Amino acid sequence: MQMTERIKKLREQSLNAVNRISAERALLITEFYQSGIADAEPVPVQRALSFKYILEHKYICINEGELIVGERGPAPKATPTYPEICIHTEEDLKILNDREKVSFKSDEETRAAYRDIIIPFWKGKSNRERIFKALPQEWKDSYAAGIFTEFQEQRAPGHTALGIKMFHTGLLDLKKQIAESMKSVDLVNDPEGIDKIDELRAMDIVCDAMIMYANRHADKLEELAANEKDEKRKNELLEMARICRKVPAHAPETVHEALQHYWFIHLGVVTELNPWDSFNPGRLDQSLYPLYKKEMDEGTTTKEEVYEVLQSFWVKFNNHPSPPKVGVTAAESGTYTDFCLINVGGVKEDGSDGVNEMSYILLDVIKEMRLLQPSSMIQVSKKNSDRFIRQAVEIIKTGFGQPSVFNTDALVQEMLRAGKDVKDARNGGCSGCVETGAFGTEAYILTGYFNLPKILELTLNDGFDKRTGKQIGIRTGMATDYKTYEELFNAFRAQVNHFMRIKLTGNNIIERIFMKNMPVPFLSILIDDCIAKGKDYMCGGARYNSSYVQGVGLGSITDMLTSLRYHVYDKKDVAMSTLQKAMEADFKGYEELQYQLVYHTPKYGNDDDYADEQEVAVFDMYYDALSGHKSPRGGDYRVNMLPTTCHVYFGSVTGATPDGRNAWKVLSEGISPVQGVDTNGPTAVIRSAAKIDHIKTGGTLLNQKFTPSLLSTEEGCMNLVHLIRAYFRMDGHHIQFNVVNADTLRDAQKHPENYRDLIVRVAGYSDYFNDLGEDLQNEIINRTEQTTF
Amino acid sequence: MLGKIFDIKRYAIHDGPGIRTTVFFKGCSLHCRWCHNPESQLFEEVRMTVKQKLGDRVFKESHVVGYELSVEQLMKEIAKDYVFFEESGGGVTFSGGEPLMQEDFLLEVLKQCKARNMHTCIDTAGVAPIHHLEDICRNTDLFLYDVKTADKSKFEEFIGMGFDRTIDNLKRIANQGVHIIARIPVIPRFNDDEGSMRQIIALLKDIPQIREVNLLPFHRNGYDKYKRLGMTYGMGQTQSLKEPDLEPLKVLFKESGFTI
Repeated sequence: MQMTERIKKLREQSLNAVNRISAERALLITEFYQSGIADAEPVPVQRALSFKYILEHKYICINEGELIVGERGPAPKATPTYPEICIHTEEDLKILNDREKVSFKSDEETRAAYRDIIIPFWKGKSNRERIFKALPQEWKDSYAAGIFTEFQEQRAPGHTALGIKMFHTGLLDLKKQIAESMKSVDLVNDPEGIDKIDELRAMDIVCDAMIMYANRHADKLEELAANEKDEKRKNELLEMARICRKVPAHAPETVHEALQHYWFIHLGVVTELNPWDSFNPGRLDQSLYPLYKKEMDEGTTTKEEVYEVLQSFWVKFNNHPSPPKVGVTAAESGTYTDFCLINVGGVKEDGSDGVNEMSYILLDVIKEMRLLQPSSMIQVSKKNSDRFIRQAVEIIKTGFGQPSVFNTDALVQEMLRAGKDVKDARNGGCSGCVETGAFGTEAYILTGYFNLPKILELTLNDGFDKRTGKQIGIRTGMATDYKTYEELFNAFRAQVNHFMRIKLTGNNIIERIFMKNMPVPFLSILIDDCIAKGKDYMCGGARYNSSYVQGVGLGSITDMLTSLRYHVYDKKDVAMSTLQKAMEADFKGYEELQYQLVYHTPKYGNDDDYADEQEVAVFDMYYDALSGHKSPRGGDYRVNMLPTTCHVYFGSVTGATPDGRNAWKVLSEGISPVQGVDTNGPTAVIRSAAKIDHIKTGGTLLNQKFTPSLLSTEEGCMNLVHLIRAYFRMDGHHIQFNVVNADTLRDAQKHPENYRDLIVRVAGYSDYFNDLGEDLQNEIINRTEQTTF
Repeated sequence: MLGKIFDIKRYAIHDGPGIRTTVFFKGCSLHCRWCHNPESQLFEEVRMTVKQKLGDRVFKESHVVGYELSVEQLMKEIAKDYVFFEESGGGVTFSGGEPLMQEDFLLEVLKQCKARNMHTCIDTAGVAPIHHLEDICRNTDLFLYDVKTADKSKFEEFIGMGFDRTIDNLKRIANQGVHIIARIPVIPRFNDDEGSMRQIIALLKDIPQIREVNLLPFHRNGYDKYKRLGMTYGMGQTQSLKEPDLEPLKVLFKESGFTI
């Protein structure tokens, strides 16, 4: 359904709003801690009171014509910072202001606030400083070498989504549960008893704070209504005020109430801290459908009204860029996207087909709104009809990279394998890029990317990193010392285990710091069983706890190992010493050899068993290095394979590699083949990608580029549906499609001014082509363009 | 038994229903001027130059086009995409070159495909003698049958010998009751006029089993290959046709009751 005039205006306002820094939140939290009013309180209560203080004092922004209210900052895209997590220095603000991509502007007044008030107060007290103080030197050296990144150095863990239950629950209901839980705490025999009481008190405070915040919106709406000349808008404002007095205190009973209910909850989560992946309404179609159906049956709403309020809701996400990141964190996730991923489709908790009329309405909204945020995906189960996928293909073929496509049956298997209850598994889905989780019951925290290709580089150099000039790996020998491929692979395994130990040691230190200093009582009330356990989300309060280290560059590492095995050990047509010299010279003077490596070597992504054997071996090795470990809050370590934009950063720290890749160039992303080497078409890519056991992961990411001509006919579209089905029969976790001509992209590079709206699929999310760095733009152009065969 | 092919294309979605694997047989007795697979014409291996870029450098190589393989080897390749065939109602298409010129090999592969319940399709111009007509037809679900012209002299001038045989084979196959789609390449100054098309319609009307026609617009995609093979391009500067160019011709077929 087409946008109404006011939705068009709101959308335009959102698209045109400038991303800028707002000092509001940072100033309020500084004021709060400066006042010392909560100094005597335990940490969770302090945190809860600071949350309350912010919500009491922040400016209430209501945009003209909108139906869903509430902004994280004082205006759309006015973006707060979180100095308790990470202080943005004056220099950071300058970088953020001046950088060409993903900039955040700041005016003199804002900079003065940071310079004079915020920075002086927080200096030495931020979580980031605590973290870097506590981390061992070997961690810092590996981090500087680009072996891994760290998610929690500038942002908080979050990585979760709301369960369906919270769409039928008000905060007053939660307050009752909190009171019950308090009663059950055994202060005599439970050594953690007093901590639980503190945490539950904090939870109670944040419930009240959020209800107060909603009422502040109601006050403002009533004020606006009193001055509104337009009778229609006046009534609308009064209705919105009524809704804000009802939710989130009480459970919503209409679609409009439910969306406002969620939006307050969303704002609470992203105001409390700056968690990764912002927050996520989870299974929105299932949550809204019963309300929608009841309203339609009773005739109390119309389809037009439902569409309009959904569209207004969509705009809210787009008003909220991901909080400003700098340094390595900006490199690993260089985007405004804050990774809220709307799930549509899949199955219900009883295992039956979960697609309903609301699923199709949401697909319509996604298509019509065509916004960067929220991101969207469809869950596809064998129980869903082809018609549902076909409808999604209709949006995919318009070429803005949404929705991505996930395999419900694989997700459920992944979660069952991880020990979850089948109902919790079916109520789950994916959030962020491709991360599997049980919505409303799980803390599934990503901790950082892991650079497998770089570790092979070190393996060939006795653990020495030439770029930073440091011996950071263990001394397993030089390339020429490995007499057999098995010796080489075993040395590689030893290096991976070595760096995994360093990464996990760091993770545990960082997690302890968050557990002690950064409880999140608001997020905790939303995720079962934090209230029942009297335990914070950060401390293992969730029913299920998982931790991830994300493997990057599966395609690159496979091709690198294959090259070595094929040329050096099997065919013996290239001596290791020659290859070493060629890589040292970045193939200058060795172009013939480089040509052989690139064009005459088996490559991953072509359904070639010789190459794909390395894929499976390296995946299993990575899996073994990580699984079985437990984090301090009780999180089970699991693998997933996704890169966001980290394959670019990791490439930029990795020298020339045995697959013929030049130094500092991008690596492959997700589990996609190295850009341009997959020459046997999409079925071969899919078969290669399906050779690893996806069920052992918590997410893999496969990117495919299609030209529009492949989807220009009904048959072409249906073949895409079949392609998806076939991949999912092989337990593939996720696939996404970029439908765009390489020519179009090249032209967009030359004339960015003409392509301000061009959205492309990057890796697990879409982004404006213009906002991507040039190397990433080139990489997307180079990814194999599947044309007609 | 060995066959000679020059390519296997997966995710072929324009050579019959669903997602298909197309096997390109080597060797064809015709030499259509517009042929976009000139490397397929000779049964013998040919050399074709290939240019590949690496950074700013261009590497030139001479590739041998065509190779022999056994039925088992071919079946192994075909079987790889079995799941895709099942999901999409697709299967295998045998194209070329002229697949029927290697009839014994083709028949064996067809039988094995059918034994595994795969949909099979032959893309042919029908110029080879067909010795095992019944067997071939029993194991083939669909023929994509080239009907380039209904004018024998034109056929001989632009294509080669064998016009009568192509028509005869078409009728023989039709009589076996196999599903046939007639494929007409629309070539400028050869058959892109109303008269030529009306002749083809008259010819097809003679064979009542044929109800379905595809018109394929001429394209210059083969141009580069001629250069790389050291051959002369027979179509000179003739420009590619676009789908809309075919509309008036499609109307003729529709009016005559064909599905198009």
